[in-house]
Amino acid sequence: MHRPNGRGREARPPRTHASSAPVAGALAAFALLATAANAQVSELSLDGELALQLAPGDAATAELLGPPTTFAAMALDVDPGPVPFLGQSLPLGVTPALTLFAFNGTDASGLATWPLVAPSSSSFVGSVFYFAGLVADVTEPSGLRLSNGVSLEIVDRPPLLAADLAGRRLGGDPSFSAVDVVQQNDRIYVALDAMKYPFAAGKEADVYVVAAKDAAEWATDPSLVDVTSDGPNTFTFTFDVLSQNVLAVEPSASPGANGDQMASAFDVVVDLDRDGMLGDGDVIDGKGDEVGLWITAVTGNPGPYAVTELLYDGGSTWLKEDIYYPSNVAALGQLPLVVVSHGNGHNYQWYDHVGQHLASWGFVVVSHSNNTQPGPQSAATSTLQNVDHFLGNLATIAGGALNGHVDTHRIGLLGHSRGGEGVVIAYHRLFTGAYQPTNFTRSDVRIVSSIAPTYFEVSSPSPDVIHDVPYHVWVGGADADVTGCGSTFVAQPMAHYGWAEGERSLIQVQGAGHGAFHDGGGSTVSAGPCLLSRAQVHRIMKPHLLALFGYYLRDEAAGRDFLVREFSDLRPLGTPSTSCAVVHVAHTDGPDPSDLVIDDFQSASALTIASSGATVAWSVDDLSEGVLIDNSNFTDNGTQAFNSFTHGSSTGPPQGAIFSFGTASSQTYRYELPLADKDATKYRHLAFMLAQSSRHPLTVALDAKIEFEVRVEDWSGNSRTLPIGSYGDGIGEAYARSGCGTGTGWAAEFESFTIRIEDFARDTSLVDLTDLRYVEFLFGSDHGSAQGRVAIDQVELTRK
Amino acid sequence: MKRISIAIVSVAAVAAVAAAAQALAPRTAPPALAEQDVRVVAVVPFTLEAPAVHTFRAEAPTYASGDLVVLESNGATLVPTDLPCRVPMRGAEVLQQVNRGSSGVVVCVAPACDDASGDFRLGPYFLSAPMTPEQVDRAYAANELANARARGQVRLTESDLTSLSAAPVVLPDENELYKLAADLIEAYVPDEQDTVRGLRGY
Repeated sequence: MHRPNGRGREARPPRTHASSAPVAGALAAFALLATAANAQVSELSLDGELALQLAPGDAATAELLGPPTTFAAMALDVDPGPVPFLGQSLPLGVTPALTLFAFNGTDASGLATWPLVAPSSSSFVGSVFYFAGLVADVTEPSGLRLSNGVSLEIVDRPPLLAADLAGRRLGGDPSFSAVDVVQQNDRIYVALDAMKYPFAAGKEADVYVVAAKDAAEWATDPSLVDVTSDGPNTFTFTFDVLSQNVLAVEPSASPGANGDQMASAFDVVVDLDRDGMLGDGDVIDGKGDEVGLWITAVTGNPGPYAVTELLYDGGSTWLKEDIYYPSNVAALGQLPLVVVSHGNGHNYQWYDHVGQHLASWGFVVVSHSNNTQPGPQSAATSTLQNVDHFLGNLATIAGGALNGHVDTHRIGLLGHSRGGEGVVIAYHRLFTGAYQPTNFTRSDVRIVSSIAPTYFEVSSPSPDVIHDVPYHVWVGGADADVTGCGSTFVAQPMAHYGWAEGERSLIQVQGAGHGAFHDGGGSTVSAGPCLLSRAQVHRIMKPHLLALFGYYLRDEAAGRDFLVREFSDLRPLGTPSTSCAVVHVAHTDGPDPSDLVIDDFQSASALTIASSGATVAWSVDDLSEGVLIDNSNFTDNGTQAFNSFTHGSSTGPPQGAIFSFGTASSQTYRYELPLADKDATKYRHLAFMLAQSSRHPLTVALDAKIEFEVRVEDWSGNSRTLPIGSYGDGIGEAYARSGCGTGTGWAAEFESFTIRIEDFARDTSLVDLTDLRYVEFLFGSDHGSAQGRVAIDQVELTRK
Repeated sequence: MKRISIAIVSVAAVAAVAAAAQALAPRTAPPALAEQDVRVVAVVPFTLEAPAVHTFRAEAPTYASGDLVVLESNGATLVPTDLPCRVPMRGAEVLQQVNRGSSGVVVCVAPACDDASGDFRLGPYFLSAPMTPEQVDRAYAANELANARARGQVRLTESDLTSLSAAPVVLPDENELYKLAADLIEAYVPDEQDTVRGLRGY
């Protein structure tokens, strides 16, 4: 049991945050007492605090420090006084209610204690009691020395409360932010904002990390069983800034994987009454059926199952398959299916790293021969026919071992290059009905992922696009085939991303070549500095594959964090440690009426109006909105606003804004929310995407990540500014590759950033999140980097 | 019985092409080929009992006969990329390149499509401008042929074709055709074993 917050800590005065009248009265009284206490030299405290709140029936300990082994006494009253007494100031009102406690004595260390129990009747709720101590002291003329005063407020015992307790330490303000996912062996940080939960202030509590229970399980068994290596941690939450209320939990005994699931589920409980049971007055992260915290395994390592791989010939050139599944599939029920469609000049037997890894974690993987040479339309035909054939022949494939063990309603498509465009076209055909599958339906395809996809469809007047299904793209910065160079749309792997109407994600791996994503040997088909080997790229791919397909095909909530959070924040275990492994991820949730998309730049073309109707104001330079495309090479000629951006096509929808900064020390880009959208407490995150413009003189001169700040302000003018550097490492630079015109720096890479809404209201912040007016991005030397050019997109308040 | 006959013709075909491979192997320092030139090394005429679809042309015509041809180029030109790339052609027909060709040798299916006309077996054989075959129609292919002729590409002679050709084979379907192509790849491009395994399915 840790006691990191013991008696020796300096007790601090409470802040005027508490809102109830009795509390306010107690605080006012406390202020007087604290002033009076300055003249005293004996110290009185209640559970180490000068002001304490207890629920009816709760216990505390009064501690009086004075000379050793001498007489001690304590009294309470309902009035804080002070009144003169024995030539000193007594911090009590000396009303008829004055009550003297049993006489006591200090021990050899000078400490005298009295156990206190708050009255059990709820009729006392709101009452405030004041305490003062007295010790014998021969140095005083009266022979007695008075203590400071302390207060005790009886508060209503709250019901079991839900709060985001588990999180991570930040590198700066606000020092802590709640998260849903940590990785195995990561230290878990638990924080309770005692200003938000004042009843917890000053109370010693036990902090548990327990195996998650749903509501029914908690009702049946409310006992708390800590799973960490050293048992529950004891901590005293103080009426103080959040950074003083963060407890580090050593997680060494907490498991990661849960069978073939990538994460284990936990709840985090602050047991305020220390009875070892979850109940009223406690605080839980993971209330009801929610999960408080996921701890993920080393997701880059193989999963728990041995893998069987076999080659299957469906009797046609393009119905040949390399199949991977858990060897004990007979005992595993129905497993999701991942279908791999290779690229041109590639081979369906070149994806062992995908098949072996996912099958070891409980997926069935089918990598099929793919008719890519004619083009992606033919590849799409191969994909669809293979899915249908495989699902229709489970009774015979692998001797029937998979029959009844493939979940035909949970299918993921993963294509590479022309195969990557092929899977997009395949879904388009399902969407339009151009292909009528026999053994599955469109809705069975839950996720489509393209590795370095081509974009031949750009030449079509009505291109086949990905529509509403969740879509994911892998981009290799060093790709020497589908290069990403702006001079030809066919070679722009991010173009499909812009068409996606549902959830969409990007992972951009600098230094990864086109051939590094398969395991066929030979060249990695790469160009640029700091190249990654095929093995290194695979070590980045494996955990990301598991997160991607775990999230979309098995509803593994932990997977989402790996798609959303900065790589520098949540770098999957098992990925290579080389500094060349620079990865940027971006994620946008699909249309969700419960989210507020402040600006996706798809409508309201006026610079002053966001797509949500929010008003836009700015002091940044050279602001433009438009399609995120570069119609030529990456040479910066000063005329293309979106030079180096390749997220759309001339006919595609994706748009964003871009601006420069560097002419002043503080330059802003600000949204004023519509009044109807002022309540931000409905949301968990402020999310947005940013990217550095490549080869622009300002970013070239900066040659570093861009740091900036985010500020919110309410309608009363209260504001809070948070530096993005607290959460991660800023806006990354584009890959330092030359070619595709003159200069250095490859295609711009968007990154997602998310900030918990509640972080803006931490500690001394007076921001009223129910009354939010501005969301503002601050650039310049006052806020981080002195100069740069930045594109922004998808500014949202999200509930996820 | 059918399977046995297939096996027999396959063995015969492979024996024929193996001989051709031996003829190829001793040749030293072949004259350098221009970027769009190819040299015909071997030809195996085939007939399919079940017609197949030629997906390498926008019209997607069917074919029930044609040739497996072994072509040699200047090397890297034949390696397929995921972007539009040069594609082997015979006359006004796009060929189906079966292997990667990093060694400079590719095995192709040269279909006799049901919409083809003329004596196309003599070629000329050449590499197209970079293209996406499924987007290429007959008119485009004819234009490629015209360009090839303008560059001086010439047809084989009848005696050339005869000397390069193995005995005709009869195969049940496209799947067996590609397996026979795998045999040719194994004979001519032994470093592409992964392609061979992929085509054979083991």
